Amino acid sequence: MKTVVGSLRDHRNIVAKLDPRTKIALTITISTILISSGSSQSILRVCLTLFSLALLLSIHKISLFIKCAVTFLVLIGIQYWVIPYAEGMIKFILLAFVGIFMNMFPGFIVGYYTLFSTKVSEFIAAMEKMKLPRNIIIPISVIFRFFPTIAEEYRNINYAMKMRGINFSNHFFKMIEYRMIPLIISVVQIGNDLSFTAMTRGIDSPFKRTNVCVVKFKLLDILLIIIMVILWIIYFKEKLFND
Amino acid sequence: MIKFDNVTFNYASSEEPAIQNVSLQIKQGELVVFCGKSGSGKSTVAKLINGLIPKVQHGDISGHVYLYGRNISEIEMYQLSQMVGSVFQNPKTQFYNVDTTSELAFNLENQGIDKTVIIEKIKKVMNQFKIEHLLDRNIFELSGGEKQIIACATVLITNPDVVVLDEPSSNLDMYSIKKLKEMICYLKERGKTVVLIEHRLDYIMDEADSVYYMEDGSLHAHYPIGSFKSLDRDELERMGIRYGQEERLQHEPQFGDHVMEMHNFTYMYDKFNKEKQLDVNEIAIPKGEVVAIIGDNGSGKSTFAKCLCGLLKDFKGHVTYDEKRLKQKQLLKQSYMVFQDVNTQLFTESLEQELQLLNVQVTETQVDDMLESMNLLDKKHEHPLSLSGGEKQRMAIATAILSGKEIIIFDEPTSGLDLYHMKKVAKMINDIHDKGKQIFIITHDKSLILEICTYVLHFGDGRLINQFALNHQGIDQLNHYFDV
Repeated sequence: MKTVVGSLRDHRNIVAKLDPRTKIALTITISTILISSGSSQSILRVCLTLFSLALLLSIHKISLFIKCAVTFLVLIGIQYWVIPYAEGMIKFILLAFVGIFMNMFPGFIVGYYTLFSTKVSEFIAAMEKMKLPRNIIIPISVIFRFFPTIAEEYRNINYAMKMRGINFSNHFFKMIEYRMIPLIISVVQIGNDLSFTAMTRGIDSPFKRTNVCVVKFKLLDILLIIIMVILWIIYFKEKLFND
Repeated sequence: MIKFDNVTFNYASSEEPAIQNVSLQIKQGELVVFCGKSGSGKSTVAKLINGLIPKVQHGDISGHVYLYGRNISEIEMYQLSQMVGSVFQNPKTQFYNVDTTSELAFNLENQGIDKTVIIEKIKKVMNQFKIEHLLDRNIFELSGGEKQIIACATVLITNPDVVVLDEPSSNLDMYSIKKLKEMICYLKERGKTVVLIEHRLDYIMDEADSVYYMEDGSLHAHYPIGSFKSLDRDELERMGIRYGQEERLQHEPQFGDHVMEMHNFTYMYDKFNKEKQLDVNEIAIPKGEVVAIIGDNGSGKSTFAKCLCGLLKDFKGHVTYDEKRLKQKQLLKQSYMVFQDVNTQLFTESLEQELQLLNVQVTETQVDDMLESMNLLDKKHEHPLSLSGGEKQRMAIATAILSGKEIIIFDEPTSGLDLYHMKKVAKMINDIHDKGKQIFIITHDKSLILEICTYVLHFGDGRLINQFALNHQGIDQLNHYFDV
């Protein structure tokens, strides 16, 4: 069985092929721990940030990886060399900015990795294994389809605006309106057409669906899950007993 | 097999019925072509056969549609999806998945078929048409043509008895048209009934059995293939059908001494990937011509166009035009691109505002004159997004003219248009050219090239593989590329 599936090529590397359930757990774990724990466990914080950056490499987003890494370095720079010398309001703004950014950003990166590395049908298979009902699975799977669609439309609108010479300097307040209205209209239209497509392909079939994707926990999944469990234990221990 | 019994349908959103009193009968194993001008009700016929009307799209319907003697409205959508396969016009909205392999499996997965069987079927079809390179790819990285091939392959894998194709060729390059033709022939050999809605008939004429011509929502004529082929040219032209047009140059090009030079046109989207999407050192073309940019999907045509109008920020090449050296920033000021997707290039609340939203000052009279010439003056205060597709396109062209820029680039301006509308767009582009602009047109439409272009750039694999003036020798080279 496995060889048959392998022969329908899958170019992703081992990290990108993690079970979707592991990926979702990773997203939740990393964002929760970074956002809600204080700044006490700084080693843990650095590790999780580095880990989330490494995930970008696994999906071959090298330029994005470099951009994010530089952003983090700049933020750390601000934290160590600028904030101690700043005063009053500026200090407060900088602190808030750096704090929020450092806490939220790794979570976003992991979410991005999850969206980019998971196939829609893999995701459906994983959700089916979790015994979720179909009226929950289908809307969520459409989200996977929609993020790249919105990104593509947004890029096209951007190009068209550049052609007209519309930019922040001459149309500062109208900018958002000009961008959002065509975006919403074309996304609604695409959504409509997509639902037609789904209907002509029998998505409303009452039979139990099969799935060509193999979704199961592998060694790496198990390893990561064990690490996540340990992290959660540490997290709750700190929350509950250190106060 | 398929039978329409006096069918009239009226979309819930419109006042006029889309089709009226249509009765027809299609036999098992026939390849039937529906043609007619835009808005003549062809797509409505397709939607009635695959059940989208009235099950998903609502409206007033009278009369009945039968499939194998069963009334379609009594068949559940999921059962119908196993009997009728559909390919739509817009490749962007045909996919539920983001990767091709899952998309190919999707129909059969919904039917609950065992996965080893599905995988066998996918492999068989992909092998047969030599399109294995399209397996396990991200849909968003495929070209329009490749997406359309996947959509057809999905239908072949599902193996329904009836296949409905709604203008499948409108975005396709020559490679994909050949594949599409192979697939349609394969379906026909297997005794499937194929309903093809199409403007462009040259590639499929030898396989078709009969042609229905629709006008204003009613079935105007039904020709067996023999008598359709013997219709004379003027008759076909009046019907707006793109078939059997005279292939003749409109004018022998005369070039002046001025040239436009492009230097160092190289670009790669991903710096860490060695592959260059565009790799052209130098191009010199006569200035002030209408230049056609041809080539298969993914050959670097669009990247070239984006570089030429300065959209790509880290593009390092430059253009010499009018003895001026234009780099990316100046190119952005000097050139304007009219995109294929009309929905993403109109931003404001009325046509009037739309034309005034430019970097140059536009007076009231200029706006009126422009709307007048585009036949849109009566809609001056309407919202641009309430216009029809063709009207939106005219608006996009109007903004290009008023922008006052020197170089104007059109991305597939005539894809999916019937002969009548194609000629209208061609005339509009010609008028802009007469105002002294430099025009580039990315296109797969040979009739458009013959109609207005005077020079051709042929791209392949990110390189310029040929460039020629469209004279008597040039036309042979053009025909060589466009030969099905």
